[in-house]
Amino acid sequence: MKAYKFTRPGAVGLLTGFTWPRPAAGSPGTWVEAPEAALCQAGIHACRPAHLPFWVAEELWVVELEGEVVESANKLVARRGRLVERVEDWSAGGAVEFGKDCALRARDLAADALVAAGWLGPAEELGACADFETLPQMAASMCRQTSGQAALMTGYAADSAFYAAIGQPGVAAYVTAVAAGDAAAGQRQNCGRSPAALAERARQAAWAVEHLDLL
Amino acid sequence: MSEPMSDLACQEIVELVTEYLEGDMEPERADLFEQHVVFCQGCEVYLDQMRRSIALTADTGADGVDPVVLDQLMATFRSRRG
Repeated sequence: MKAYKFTRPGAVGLLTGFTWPRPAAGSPGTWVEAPEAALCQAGIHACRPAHLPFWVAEELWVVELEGEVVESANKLVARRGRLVERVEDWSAGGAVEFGKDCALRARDLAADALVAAGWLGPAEELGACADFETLPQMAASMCRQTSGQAALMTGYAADSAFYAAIGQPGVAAYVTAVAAGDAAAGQRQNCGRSPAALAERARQAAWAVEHLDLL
Repeated sequence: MSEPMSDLACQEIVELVTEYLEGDMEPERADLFEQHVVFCQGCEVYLDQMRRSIALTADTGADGVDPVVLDQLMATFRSRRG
């Protein structure tokens, strides 16, 4: 089956440090085989598009899986797998745009919280800001000036924008998911798996499918 | 339906790393552990250091350790456990 896999630069596996055989001259990399397919323990780990936002890293690959495939909420594990081709659009700006899209979602959640707290002027100013040299500091400043849910959400907006701006889209995506969860709950939950956080993860995955032409 | 587990902080990653590396962690918690490590550079480095340390010391047995040092080590471990 076709799936996707994030790696560190040079096709180095996340967590394991295993260097994957890369495709060459238009042919897929050689097959890599595991003794079994066991979630988080053994096997070739990969993603459906819906799983991708949880495992963001520098390189994104199309992979082919064979044999028994086990699936959890956010990953696939198979007995055999190989790299088929690199998703070039991810490395050529897609990752940066993904991070910014997540940060703008966090910004909008923060603007909503400011409106709810009666801070209409700052809400309008923040909601209109899409400059990533300005957004982190603007949101951080509003975090310091407000309290309660408005401070919480502008803090998330500042963090997400900061990480998007420094090229860490995975962190920006995580912060935004947590922000979405806390926005729905109306308080801090510290959980990236609440229903609202997972809905944000689904939105992020849909962005990737659309902009990277996945599937 | 149970509440989803809270996300893990860096300090918890440090405390759980042995459990993770020994494969003793339940899948949902292992998932949280891995998701944290993937985007936290400090914890990724720590996990890598632990893996390397285990690999480097795998062949080291207690026989080659000076008895005085061994006693000191065991005393330290016992005192840390309370």
